[in-house]
Amino acid sequence: MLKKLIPLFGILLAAVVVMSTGAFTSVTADREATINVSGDASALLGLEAHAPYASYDDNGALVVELPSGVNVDAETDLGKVFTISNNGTQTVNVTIRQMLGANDVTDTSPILFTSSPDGNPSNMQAVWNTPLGSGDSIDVYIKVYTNMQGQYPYQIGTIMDSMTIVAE
Amino acid sequence: MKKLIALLAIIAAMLAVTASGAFTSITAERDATISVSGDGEALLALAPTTTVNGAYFVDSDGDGAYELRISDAQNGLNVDAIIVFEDIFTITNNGTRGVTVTLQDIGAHDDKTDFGDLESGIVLAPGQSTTVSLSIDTYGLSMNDSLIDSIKITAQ
Repeated sequence: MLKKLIPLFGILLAAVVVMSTGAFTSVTADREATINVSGDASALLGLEAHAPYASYDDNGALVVELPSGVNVDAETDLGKVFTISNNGTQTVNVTIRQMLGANDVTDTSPILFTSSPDGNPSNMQAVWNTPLGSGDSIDVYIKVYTNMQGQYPYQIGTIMDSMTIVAE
Repeated sequence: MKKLIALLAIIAAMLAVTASGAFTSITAERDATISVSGDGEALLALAPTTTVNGAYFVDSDGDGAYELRISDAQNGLNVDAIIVFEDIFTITNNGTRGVTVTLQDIGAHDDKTDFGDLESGIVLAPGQSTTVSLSIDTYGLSMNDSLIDSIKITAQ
């Protein structure tokens, strides 16, 4: 009986010893962790500007800007404005939201971000949950439909002041 | 065994490379400004000339878009005549690249209105303007005939 108990104590004792060796007040371990910030052109989510309506600011961030406003009651095709590239390793879904001040105006805006030169309000092809495989890219065309007041009302002045690009 | 270790090392290295590029989500807000302008200041600026015929190019409803309103002329057009309206409005390319501007007139008798070279298209360099004139041939038309009800100006 004792012979059997002794190994059992031994095991219990060993367990306690192992557990107590795991107690510590603090451990500080430095590990190498490199995080680089890239300009949009070469980042994980690559944003390549195309002239004349897109460029980069001093920080290398993409900026979309027009020399003047688009016409009222008109269709304005700004052509291919920028290209989004997935430089990550997994497929992501890309969505572009249009902002005016703090408001998300995507649903009512006369502006269409489309992944196709043929995109239009009846054939949206909007950049909205658009799958983008690793290493793939999509060209983003911008069109403005100020001739559809009933559907996409607007007022003269700024109709978008920033865009939020989400890849997830 | 050495070969196997090398192979394992390669697989491990590949995993390391691919793992480093994976991301869960990226949200990037970027300045992107688009405005709508009245015709006078827009990308393709349309404005009445300062000549007397500029009065035919008006924004009667104040929506910022001009309308060509020959029908509002105090007296209608003569029948069986050629009527010329010179220098009604200007078209200016405020974009940053050259465009070909075309004017298409649309209506029951659009063969009777002639906007000259603009109907086949003219090239406007950035900052360049052209002045639009209109010639109307009313031969064969009857009183109260409507010639056109819209013009479509395309720059591409």
